[in-house]
Amino acid sequence: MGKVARTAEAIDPSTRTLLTEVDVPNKDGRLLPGSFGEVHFAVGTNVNKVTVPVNAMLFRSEGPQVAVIGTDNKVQVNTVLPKEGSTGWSDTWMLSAKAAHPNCMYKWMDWITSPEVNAQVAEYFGEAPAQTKACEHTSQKDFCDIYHATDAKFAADLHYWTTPQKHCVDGSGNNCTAYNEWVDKWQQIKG
Amino acid sequence: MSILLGRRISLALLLIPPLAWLVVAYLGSLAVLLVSAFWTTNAFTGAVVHTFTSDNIVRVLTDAVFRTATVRTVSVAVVVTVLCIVLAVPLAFYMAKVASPRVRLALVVAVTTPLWASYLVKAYAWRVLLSPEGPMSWTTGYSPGYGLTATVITLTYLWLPYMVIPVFAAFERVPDSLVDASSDLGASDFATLRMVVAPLVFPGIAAGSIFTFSLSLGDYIAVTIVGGKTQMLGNIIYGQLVTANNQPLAAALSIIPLVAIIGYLLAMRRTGALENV
Amino acid sequence: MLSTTARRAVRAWTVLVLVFLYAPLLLVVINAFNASRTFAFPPTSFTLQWWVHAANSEGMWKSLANSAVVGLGATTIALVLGTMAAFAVQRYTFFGRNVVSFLVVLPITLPGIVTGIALNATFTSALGVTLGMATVIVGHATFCIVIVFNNTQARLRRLGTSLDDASADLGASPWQTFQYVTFPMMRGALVAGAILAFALSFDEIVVTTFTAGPTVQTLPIWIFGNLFRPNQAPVINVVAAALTLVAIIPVWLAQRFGGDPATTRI
Repeated sequence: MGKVARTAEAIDPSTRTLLTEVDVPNKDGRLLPGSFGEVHFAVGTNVNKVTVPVNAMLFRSEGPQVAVIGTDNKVQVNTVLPKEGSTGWSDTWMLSAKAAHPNCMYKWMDWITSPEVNAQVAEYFGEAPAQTKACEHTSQKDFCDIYHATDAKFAADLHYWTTPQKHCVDGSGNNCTAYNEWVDKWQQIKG
Repeated sequence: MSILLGRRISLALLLIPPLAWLVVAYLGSLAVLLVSAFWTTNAFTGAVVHTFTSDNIVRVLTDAVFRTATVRTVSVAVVVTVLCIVLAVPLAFYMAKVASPRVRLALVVAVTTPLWASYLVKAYAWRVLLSPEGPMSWTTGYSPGYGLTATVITLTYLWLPYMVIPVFAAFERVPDSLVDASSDLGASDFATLRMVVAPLVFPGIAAGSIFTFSLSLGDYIAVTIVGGKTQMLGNIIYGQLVTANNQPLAAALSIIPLVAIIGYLLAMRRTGALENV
Repeated sequence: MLSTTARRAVRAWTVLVLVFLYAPLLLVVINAFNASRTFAFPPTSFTLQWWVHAANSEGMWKSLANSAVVGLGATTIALVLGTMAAFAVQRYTFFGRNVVSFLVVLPITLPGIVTGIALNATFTSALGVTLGMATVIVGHATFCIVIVFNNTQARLRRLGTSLDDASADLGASPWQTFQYVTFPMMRGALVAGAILAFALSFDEIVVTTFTAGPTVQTLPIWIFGNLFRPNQAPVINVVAAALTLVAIIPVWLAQRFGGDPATTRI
């Protein structure tokens, strides 16, 4: 029974193998230098990380996605998270401080964020519902799983959008890039 | 004397309402636009701040990206205009001079009907047509993809009826007798077309070109749909106004197409195009 | 008049251009029945389900109604103001006649985005008016005036003044002349101008986007909002196909009652 000590961390493209070093107890000296043997690796069965080539990925406004074959043998598009994390946003409702009919707005907010309605909105747009209780009401049963709606670790890797201003958000000063400058830069990049 | 006064009064009654509308609603709003080019915005809220600054105008004149976009947009507008002329003139000639009256009516209906199909849907249809899995690559194995070529093709397609109609009207106004007289006097078909018909039809072509040029100059929607990453002046203006919330800069940028069109119109006035529009 | 080769060449060119004009429209009609949501070509199967969706789409009917109201409003204003301006320019000589013509034509020649931003800036910053149906109608009417003006002016120029003079010589008052002589001859141009103005207003999106605000949805705005949504895109094709087919009626009407096609103007 040995233990993987280290790997080359990169696959040799010509042999398509991964060079691995395994530490094996050899107290009785049965393993001699230069000998060959068969090695079996006990790989965890719940490994759910799959690496895909970048040209298998779809980059859309909803974020990076990949198509997989679902349990019903139909193609399904799933959301993936690069290891660097990803940016994200959440749609919100705001009530004006000067609103003439604030109660109407409260009633609207109660309704639109209710589980049944939020489920419909989420499925129409193809995005995770903000209301986790909506997961029981989606017509597609595994909708919330596909969009990682209840996955706290997934959400922790998301960097939420905020309006860029000259005044830096991390308090480091007043020389950050303001929003309209980003737009200018983007237009210059497109040329 | 009273007849003259009566006529003057009726002229005033006829002229004042439309002029009032156009001067107040239209010229007035253009004036507001030009004034707002000298204002600035609050960087966080995007609200317009009424402090005078010439920064926007300076940026419009000096930034390289605006210059590039202007050159690209004007070039596209010119190419689209030329393509429309090439496609429209023989068609209009056939409709006016060769087709029988019933065929002529059918052709006029046929050319005008596409104007009723939604501009957005037509642009989207081209997006589907030119897509790598679309009909064009399915039939011919090649598709230009989304970019400048696709933009030119789509814009030509969208504005073609606007060129055909004035040119057709101009051809219709050329009396057959002139053409007959020309061939009686010994001119070949080509000479007749060049020396008799073309000068008479030119104002109609100029009128059509006003539409194709100005519609292409300001377009940003069709470009977004089929242009891929192509950026025309309209996209830049739209981006500054809607995405960056920088209305004064957008207003300053709008001066470019404004000046271009007014210049084009003044040039075309001498050709008599404005009576044929 | 022309040699046979020239005639054949021009006829062939006509066919080519007509194919060019109608191929995308044909594709729209095909995709209105295409069972594939992503418009796979060639279509694997046909379906009428998108037509059912469209018929049940409340958003579509509401925006269609809004577009009709805006079109009617803008066309009415344009008919009144455009005819008045056409009469003034054609039947009277006065200083600045060319300037008036130039001014009337300007709204349709300036790019929509310039007109849109100008109107938006005026309504929101200068006048403090809330954007809504009224502002959209004002925007549309401004470029619709041109169309009625052009058609009416062209017809008036062709008619000349001799018949009006004859009527006056025979003792009719100016109003009677207008009622019995000028208007009947001009009616066709008004019909053609009104139909074309309505068509342009119905399909307009750029000026509308800047003058409509968040509350008003005309049909083009509704289409634009749904164009890139995979669930709604097939319904858009249905709406477009239906509109194009239905549009043949007013186009044919405009030609039939607009009289001489040579005086049709944009």
